Amino acid sequence: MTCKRRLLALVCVALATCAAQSQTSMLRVTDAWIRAAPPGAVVLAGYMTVENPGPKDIKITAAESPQFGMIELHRTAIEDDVARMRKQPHFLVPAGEKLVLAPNGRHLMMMMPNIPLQSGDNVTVVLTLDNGASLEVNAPLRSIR
Amino acid sequence: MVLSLGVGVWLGNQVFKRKPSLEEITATVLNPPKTVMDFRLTSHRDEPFTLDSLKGKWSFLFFGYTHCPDICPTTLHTLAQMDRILADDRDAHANVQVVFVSVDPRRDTVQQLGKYVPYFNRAFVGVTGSEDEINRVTKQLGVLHIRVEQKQGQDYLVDHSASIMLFSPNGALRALFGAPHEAQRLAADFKKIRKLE
Repeated sequence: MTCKRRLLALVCVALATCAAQSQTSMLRVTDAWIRAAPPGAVVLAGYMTVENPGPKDIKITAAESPQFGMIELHRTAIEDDVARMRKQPHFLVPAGEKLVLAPNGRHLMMMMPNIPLQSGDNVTVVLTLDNGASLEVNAPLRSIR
Repeated sequence: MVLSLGVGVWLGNQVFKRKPSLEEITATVLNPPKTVMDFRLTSHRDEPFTLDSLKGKWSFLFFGYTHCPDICPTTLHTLAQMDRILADDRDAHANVQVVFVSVDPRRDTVQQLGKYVPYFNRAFVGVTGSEDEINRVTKQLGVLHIRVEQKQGQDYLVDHSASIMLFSPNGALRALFGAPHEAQRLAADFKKIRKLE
């Protein structure tokens, strides 16, 4: 009986730990979309809102998709009327806050599509997080917002 | 009765014809407009695009490149939205053209622009040319474009001016719209700038 109780307690602790861990590794992604590009475009941009409801900051360190040769994390900044796009080492999603990837700002730079993509097509993007977790996101192609 | 009607019509005409003041316009209006020396570029229809191509029309010019996934398509979408807004007003939409000038002529061939630019609006014109000719245009307009090399094996990026330029029908630079761009504001400013002439 004592042994069973101990086992039960152990399972409870394990479950609670698991739940806590998944809470901290969990990012909530909404409104993911990729801008449909003209024929022949070899670079597309992906956008989304990433919410971190957990108590710890989380960094998105990489992204990949089976439908693209390569994805980089980029940021467009307009300074003194010059648009500069630069690769970012990561995107930080602060604890309890949202990160918005949107036109003319942070975005996923999606290069070398494997096949021509059109409005309505769905793209799978896998985000790699600095806590060891990864997150699969489905993003439809849209022509305009 | 006839007199008061006449006065009413006259007053109405004065209000209608009133030239907007520069304070009402958010764009930077150049007074006097900046004249531009001739240039020789090529449109996405493989036709010459020179200073004469700007004459007789109000031309919106945006400088960018087709390998740019974010600000260039965003701006072209905004210009397409602006064009749809202007299309509701026949006077405002008359003789308007939108021109996308490549600052990456190495990759933006006539064929590449032919696939890219009409996607946003069939009437939009894509323009490219030799690096020397592109530089000739951008230098006189103060348009910056700097190639930024990436790590080995990766395509380069191009930093570039984000403003939209408006040329009047005599081919002179009339106004600058600073980024970020918004279709309603572009259309509203343009209608006012037309009335300045």
